Amino acid sequence: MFEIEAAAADRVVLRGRFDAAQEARAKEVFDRISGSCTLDLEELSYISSAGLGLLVALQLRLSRDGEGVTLTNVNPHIRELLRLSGLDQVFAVA
Amino acid sequence: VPGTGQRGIRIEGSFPKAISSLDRVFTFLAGFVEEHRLGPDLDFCLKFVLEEIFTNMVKHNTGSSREIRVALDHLGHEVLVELVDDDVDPFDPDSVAPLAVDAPLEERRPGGLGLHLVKSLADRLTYEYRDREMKVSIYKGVA
Repeated sequence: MFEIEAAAADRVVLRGRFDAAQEARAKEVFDRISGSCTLDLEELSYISSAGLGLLVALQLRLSRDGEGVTLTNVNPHIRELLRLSGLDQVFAVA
Repeated sequence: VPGTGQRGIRIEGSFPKAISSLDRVFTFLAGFVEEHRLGPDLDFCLKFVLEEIFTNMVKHNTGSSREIRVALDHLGHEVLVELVDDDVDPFDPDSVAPLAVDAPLEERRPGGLGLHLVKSLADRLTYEYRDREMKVSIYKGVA
């Protein structure tokens, strides 16, 4: 199960398992984000490289306008993926 | 207690070569993890490596529509995840350029991230190709 919810203009909540089959759903939500935002990952149990790639694409698009993504409540497994890929230096991780 | 499951019989499954198969692939894995009481760290790792290699085969081995065969085996001190794709062209994971983990955001390019993470998470990854059959085996120690 995967859920993605724009809880506010600057806050998106992701839940469940973000695998490659969820790319289209997530991209649809990410494409509507136009300013700095927080992605709340408290209930996100899993993410694949497809999901991480979408996060990078969002960060890259927002950064062109001086905006950015903050990841919050990142679980230890996903935090380890960020560290191993150097993406912990690409995102603000709160 | 995680990691104390007995060495068991190898289980095998076949899945249509499609991203939509992922639900079934994860369910297949979940049964194995539960049976062997492998714990959350190993569960996450096995999910990740299995999905990444499976989706790579779906995306890149497009010349054949044959099902992808997945085998899971508890070898005692480690777990084996094996994926076999038949009637495909060769692709050696070692031929992929290493991911530039220190690259700034603007220099990040799509591709290579999944394989980099699989290699980072796994203890060993082997690749075999013979008679147009590709086999990728990933080994991860049981803590």
